[in-house]
Amino acid sequence: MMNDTVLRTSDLTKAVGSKQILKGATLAAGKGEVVGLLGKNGAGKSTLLDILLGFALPTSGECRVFGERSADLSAASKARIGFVAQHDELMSLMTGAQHLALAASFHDHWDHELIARLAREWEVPLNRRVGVLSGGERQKIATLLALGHRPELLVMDEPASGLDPMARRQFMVTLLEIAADTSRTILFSSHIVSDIERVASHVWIMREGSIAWQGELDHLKESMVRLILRAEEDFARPPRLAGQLHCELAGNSATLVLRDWQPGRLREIEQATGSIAEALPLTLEDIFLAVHA
Amino acid sequence: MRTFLQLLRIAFWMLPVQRTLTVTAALLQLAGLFAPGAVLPRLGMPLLLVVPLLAGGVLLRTLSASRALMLRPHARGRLLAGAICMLLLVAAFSVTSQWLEMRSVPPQYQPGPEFYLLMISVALSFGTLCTVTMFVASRSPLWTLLILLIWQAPGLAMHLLGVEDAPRLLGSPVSLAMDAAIWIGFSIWYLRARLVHASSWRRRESAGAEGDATSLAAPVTREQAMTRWLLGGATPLTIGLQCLAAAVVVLVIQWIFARDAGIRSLHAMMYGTLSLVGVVAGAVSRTMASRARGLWLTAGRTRRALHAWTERRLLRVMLAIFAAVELATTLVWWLLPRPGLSLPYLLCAVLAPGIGAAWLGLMQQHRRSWFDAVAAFGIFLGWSYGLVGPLYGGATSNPWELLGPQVALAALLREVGYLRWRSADWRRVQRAQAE
Repeated sequence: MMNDTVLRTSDLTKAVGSKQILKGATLAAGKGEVVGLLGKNGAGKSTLLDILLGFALPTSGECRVFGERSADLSAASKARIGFVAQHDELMSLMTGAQHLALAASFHDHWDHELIARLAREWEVPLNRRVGVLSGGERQKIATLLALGHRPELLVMDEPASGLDPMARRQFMVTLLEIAADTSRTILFSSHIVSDIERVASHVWIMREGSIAWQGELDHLKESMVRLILRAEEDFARPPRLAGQLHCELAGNSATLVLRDWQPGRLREIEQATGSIAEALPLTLEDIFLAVHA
Repeated sequence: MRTFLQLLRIAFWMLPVQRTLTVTAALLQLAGLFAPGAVLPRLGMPLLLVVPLLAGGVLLRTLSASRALMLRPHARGRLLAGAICMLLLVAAFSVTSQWLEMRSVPPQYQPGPEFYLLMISVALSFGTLCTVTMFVASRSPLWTLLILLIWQAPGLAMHLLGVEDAPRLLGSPVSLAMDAAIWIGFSIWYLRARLVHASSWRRRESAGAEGDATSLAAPVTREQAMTRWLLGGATPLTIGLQCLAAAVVVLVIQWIFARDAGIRSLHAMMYGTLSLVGVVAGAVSRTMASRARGLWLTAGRTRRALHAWTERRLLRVMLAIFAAVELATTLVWWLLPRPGLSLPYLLCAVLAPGIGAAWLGLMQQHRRSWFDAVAAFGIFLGWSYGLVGPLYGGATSNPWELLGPQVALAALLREVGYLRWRSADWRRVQRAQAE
């Protein structure tokens, strides 16, 4: 399975002046995974992506993409990567078609059919100058530019943030289509939790420059629960349980968020707290909020 | 090769104006084929090459600054090769144009290969200077100023060394070696640099916000915050000082190079330049007009009130810029031999174009129309006939009557601006700015 690792970081840190932006990120993504990078604004998502792609150098630690140091990627490895920046870097005076033609000239293989189909489906006005297009339309062109050479690793920094709800849904459907190709790895950052929940197979949650959680989304959901405790009398003080992230008291009822959950713990907790316990599943949004609580 | 073809398309065929220039130049070249000896090819060549020469470096920077492009295989190398091929193409065009023109010359006067080699060498040197210096200059206004100074260095060196035949020196093997050295040095840096920064000639909208963020610790009133937004973090005083510094630098450069050109030429050039420094008020007011859109909701004012408020801020900026211009004008008057025009007239005449330009800038709330072009031409005429012309001609009487129409034009532009603001469609304003 080690050969299937597309990107790997170990103890990655990044400091700018006295500010520590990344604090020891150790991560890995394998072939065919769709990884959603989730975090609040300023959590370090864009910095992490910049280092992964070699745009910025880490202060310490190592980062490898396709087995090569990301700071010194070879042309062959670069040809296997597609990137959509958070703020598009298109030239206002050029049309979308001119941008696509220029991008195609850098690659030996360019899927004109795919681009034509996506442009049609997304209703991208390719023959108008980029400067007069809306933010969403520009973002679609930036995405087309990243897809034309059918990259094995597609990295997107908040790709849907500028899109309206209709376009976002459409974009996510297309992303699912792209993700269906199991040979392709997709890494995309977002603070729109529902987007990640809909598409991602794996999640990396960042908090203040650190990786708060990483792994399979299903596993994450299974390992975290909302636990409701109901006692006969009011709780004198909040219960303290292993893996507890968050607790709210309301009379004789307590609502807790627990990590590293195993179904067998329910009985054990009931006995320890003298209450009736009920475990409820969490959405990714609940988990995200609990992690940041 | 495919990348080079795309670059050719961008350099010669991307915009309607480029297509027009290219077709016109091609027609003139064709005419040169059928009418030997005509100067048509010579006219066509600047039309064809003006965009790639002046914008090539900026274009290279803009394309290189894209991070997505960094991940394209050999992208930097291909762009660099494309830029060098473009330069060779420019040299080839230039020589072809010369050859077309020389075909009708009698055989005994036909230039030999040495002449064409000289032409190639001059074209390569000029193209190298244009491309590399524009690439560097487009980094920021500070780099533009540095490049402006460095650009003067060879001329200054030649002047000091007593070299008079500059074209021959430019066409010499020394010059070709210098071109090669410049390209090698530039290529090493360009291919190794991790990031190429985007051009920041234009102040970004976020720049003002960043400026505000740094001073968040100091409490500001709403008025102060709005003013900061409008001026992008600058103050009238800093704008005035920047104008004064720029004026002094340019005047010193002009004095160094043009002091032997005759006092009347020097007067026309220096006072004309000072007047253009005043025209900077037009650029500032245009930026203020575009940024005022962002205050539409937060200011809580009507369109008319917002215009009046913005205009009051503009008047402060104009005061600072014009004070700098007047100070520099007085210094020039005091330090150099005096022209035939009186100091009071000069002090008014150097400001007149700036006043018109300031209100022309403030009325930029709509897509530009023919009226804007006519107004700009009127300002140019005022500058030319009211200041530069009389100075160059050695006039001894003050043409006060030419200042009246300039002031009237400024008043008219103010009224047009007021009308435009009163009915400003912010959505259309946004689109016009995007274009």
